[in-house]
Amino acid sequence: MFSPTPAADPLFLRAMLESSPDLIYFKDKESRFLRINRALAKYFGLNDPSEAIGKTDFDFHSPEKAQERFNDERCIMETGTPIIDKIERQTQADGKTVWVLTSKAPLCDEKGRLMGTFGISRDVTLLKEMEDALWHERNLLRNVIDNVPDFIFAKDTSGRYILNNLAHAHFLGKTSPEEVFGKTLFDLLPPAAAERSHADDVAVWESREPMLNKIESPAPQQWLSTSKIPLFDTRGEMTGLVAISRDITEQKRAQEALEKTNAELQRSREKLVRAVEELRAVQLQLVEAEKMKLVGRLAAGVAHEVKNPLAIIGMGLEYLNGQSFADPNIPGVLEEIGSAVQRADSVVRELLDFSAPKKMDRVPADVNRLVRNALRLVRGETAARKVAVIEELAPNLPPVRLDAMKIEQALVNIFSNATHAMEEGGKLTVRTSTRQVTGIGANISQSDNFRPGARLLIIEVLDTGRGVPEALIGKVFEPFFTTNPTGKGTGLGLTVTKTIIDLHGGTIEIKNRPEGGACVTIVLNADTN
Amino acid sequence: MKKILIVDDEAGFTRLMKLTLQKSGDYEVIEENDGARAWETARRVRPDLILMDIVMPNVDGGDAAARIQKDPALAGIPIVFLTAIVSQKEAVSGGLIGGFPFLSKPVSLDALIACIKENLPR
Repeated sequence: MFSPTPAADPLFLRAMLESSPDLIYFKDKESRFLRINRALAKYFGLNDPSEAIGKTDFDFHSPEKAQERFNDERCIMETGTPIIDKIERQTQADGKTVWVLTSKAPLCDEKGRLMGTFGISRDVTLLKEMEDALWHERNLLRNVIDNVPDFIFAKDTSGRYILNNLAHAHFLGKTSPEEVFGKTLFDLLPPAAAERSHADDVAVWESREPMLNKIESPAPQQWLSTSKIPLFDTRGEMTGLVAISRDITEQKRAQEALEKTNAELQRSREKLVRAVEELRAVQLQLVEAEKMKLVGRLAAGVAHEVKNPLAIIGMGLEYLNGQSFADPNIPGVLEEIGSAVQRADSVVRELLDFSAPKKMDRVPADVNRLVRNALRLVRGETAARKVAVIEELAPNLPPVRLDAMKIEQALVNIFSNATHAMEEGGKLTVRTSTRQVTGIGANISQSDNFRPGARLLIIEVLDTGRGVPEALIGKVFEPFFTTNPTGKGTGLGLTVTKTIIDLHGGTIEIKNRPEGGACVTIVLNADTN
Repeated sequence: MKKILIVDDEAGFTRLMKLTLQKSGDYEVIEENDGARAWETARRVRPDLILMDIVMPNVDGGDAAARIQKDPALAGIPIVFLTAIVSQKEAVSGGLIGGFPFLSKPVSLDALIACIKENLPR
C-alpha cells in the first residue's frame, strides 16, 4: 500500500519532474537554475535536465525576456509575494512562439530561509488562440451591429435589454449601449409608446411566432418597420426575443410623395384622356362638318336638279287632275305618277336633312325620358303594325351629357326601323342599363372607345322581326342601305343614327338574335358630366 | 281676278303653273323666266302677289325679292318663295326664308292656292 507521507515527498517530486507536461524550475537567489523538469529541458532544447543547472534565463531567452523574468524573481524575493497566473508569450528553442501561464513563488528551506524562487508554467497556446478567436468574433459582431444603421436589440423574458447596438442606444437618447443594458422599455420610453411596444413583445412571447415588418410610428412624422423574433435555448425554452427595427421615415415620405405624384399623374391622365376624347369628338365633328359641307352641296345640287323636274311633273298632274279621259285607266296611272313624285320628293328632302350641319348641344339628360319620348313619336307606326312595346328601363339612371334632340332622333330611327322589320306585328323591347368597363377583355365588345373603370350607359333595342341577312350586317350603317321594300324609307336613317352616336363618342352595333329578330346596342359613356 | 307673277328659270314649270292656276278662273298668271328681269316685269305688270324661285342664274330669287321690296312703287306686294332646296324638317316647320314665306317644290295645287290666298292683301 502506498501512503502519501512526507517521507514520500522526494518520490512525488521526482514523478512530477519526470512526467508533468508543465514547465517546472527551481532557481537560487541569483536566478540560476537549481533544477528543471524534463518538459522544460525539452522546451530549452536540452537532452537532459541536468544540462541547465547553473545557467540562467539569459542563456535561453532573448535579453529582454530574460531581464523581465529576472526582475520578476527579484521582486518575489524582496517582497515575498508570489506571481500567480501571469500570461507570457515565449519563443521556444525550435523558434515556435507559445503562450504560457506562469506562477512563481519564493523557495525556502525547512527553516523558512529564502533560497531562491520556483515556478511552474503551462502551455496555454491553444486556449489563448481560442480566446483570441472568440474575442475577435465578439468584436466583429459588436462592430457589425454597431455599424448597422438599423436598431438591433435583444431582451430577456422580463423585457430587460440584454443586447443592443449603438443606433438603438442613440434612438433611445443614450450615448452607448451600456446605458440601455438591463433596462426595460418603461425605463426609456414615454408610457404610451412603451406600452405599445411591450404589447408586441408579449404577443411574440405568447404566440412563440415572429412578428415581421410591423410598421409603427413611435413619434409624429417618424415611422419604423420592426421585426421581433422569439429566442429559444437548446432545450426549446423561450429566453427572450431579438428585434431589428429600421427607420423608414424617408421611405415613407418618399412613398407619400410618390403617391401624391401618382394621384396627380392620374388626375393629369384623366384630364388628358378627357381632352383626347373631346379632341376626338371635335375632330370627328370637323371631319363630319367638312364631309357634310360637300354632301350638303351635292344634296342641294341634287335637290335643285331633281325637284324642279318633279315640280313640273307635279304641276302637270295637277293640270290633268279632274279632266275626263277616254281611257278609264288614266286617272289610276296619274295617281301612280303622283305617288312616285311624292316618294322622290321625300328622298331628296331626307337627303337634305342628312346633310344639314350637325352641331352638338350637350346637356345632362335622362335617357329613359328620351326613350319614352321617342317611343311616343313612333306610336302611330307601332300601332299600325300591331307591334307591342315593352319598356325595361333601369330605374335611377345617372344623367348623361348628350344632345337630347339628336339622341331622340337616333332612337326614333332605330325604333322605326325595328317596327318596319315587323310587318306582321311583333314585340319591340327597349332596355336601358348601366355597366362598368372591367378592363382588358372588357365586358363590352367595342372597348376601344371606353377606358377601364368608365361607367357605361347601355340602350338595347330588340325586335322580333325578320333580322338582317348575315352577309349584309356590316353594311347597315352605310348610306342608302335598306332591307325595307323599295319605296319604304330612304336608307339614311341608320347612317344618321350612327353619326349621332359617333358624335357622342359612343358605339352602336346590330346583331341578329338567335331566337329571331335583331338587337341594336348603343353604348354611351355615362361619365361625361 | 288677282294677278300673279311667277319668276322661275324653269319655263316648263311656269307654263304648267300658269295653265293650272288659270284653270281655276280666279287668277291671271304672268311668267318671267329670268331673275334679272323680275323687278322690271313686276314694275310693268304690278302683280297682286309674286311667286319667286330662289336658285336662278344671273340674279337669284333672294336678290330679286330684295330689290322689289325696296322699290316704294312695289311696296306691299307679297312675295312667296318657291324652292327645291328645302329639307324635310324645314318643309314641315312652316317657317320663313329671309323673312318671306315659302313653298317647297314640288307643290300641290291645294297647298299653292291656300298659300296664295293666305298671303294676298285683303
